[in-house]
Amino acid sequence: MSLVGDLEKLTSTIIERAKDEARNIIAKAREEAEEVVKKAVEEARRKAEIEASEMMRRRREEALSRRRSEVAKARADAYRRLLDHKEKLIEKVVEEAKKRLQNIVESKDYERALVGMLKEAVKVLGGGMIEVKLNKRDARLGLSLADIAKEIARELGEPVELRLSSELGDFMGGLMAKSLKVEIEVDYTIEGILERKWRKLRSEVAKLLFSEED
Amino acid sequence: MDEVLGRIIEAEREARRIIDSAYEEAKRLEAEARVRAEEQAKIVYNEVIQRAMREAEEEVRRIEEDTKREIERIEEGLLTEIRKLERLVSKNFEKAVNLLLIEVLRP
Repeated sequence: MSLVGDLEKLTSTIIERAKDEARNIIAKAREEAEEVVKKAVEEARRKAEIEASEMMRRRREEALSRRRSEVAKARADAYRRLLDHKEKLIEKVVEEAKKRLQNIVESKDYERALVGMLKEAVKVLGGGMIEVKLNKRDARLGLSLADIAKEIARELGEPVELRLSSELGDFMGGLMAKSLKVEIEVDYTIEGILERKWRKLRSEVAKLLFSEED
Repeated sequence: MDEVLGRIIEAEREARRIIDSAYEEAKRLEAEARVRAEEQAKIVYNEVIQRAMREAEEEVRRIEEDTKREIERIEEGLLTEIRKLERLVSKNFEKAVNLLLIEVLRP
């Protein structure tokens, strides 16, 4: 081979090797570039999934917390409304009792009950001189206070004197009795008795009212 | 001899230029990859977050519907209980009133 031919081959080899190296450099760069993109995408996905998971957990917790709060409020509200309704139903009993007592105090049987109340009041006061206050209608019944006093005195074994108060009571029925000796007054009005009995019997009435037994 | 050396040096220069050009191209690819990586990462990030938000909203909606149903059940329970009370009261009302009246009028 001639020197010129060898030189051509040498320079050509130098160029070809450079081209090979260049191809390798670019191929490696492409490979690395793809790796950079792949890693960035994977990292972004990993980061997003962590954030998404945390966001979903937070939203779920908030929703569940609202749910707990709303359900608890609805339960408390329902319970309160049930109690209010029960209360109204119980109160209807006492309202009905008042209406019927109004009819009873206007009936003939009432006089006997009034005498019974009077005897009870006098016994509570322990006898003695007692002033009895009645309402306008009962004052007109013409009760024989002297006879009633004698009867109570016999039962008590104590002297009893009953005097009708000049003042009229503003109540449905029953009476107010005042011991003039000890200055004590007892309330035996229908309203007073009903109030005391209602306080005592309220829970029993409620139990009976809502009883499932026949 | 000088001409031979000159040709070789020239070939070496050309080879250097080719390699330098390859490095330039590699740098360009690297820079382009960084931009692409940033863009694709943003797209993937947003896709994942948006999907999660849709799923979270769906779950919140399910929980809210479940809450609504639970509250309706509570309301129904209350109405059932009230109807039961009304039934018991209509059965026992007279007895309750009489119990009170008897006690009030008892001597």
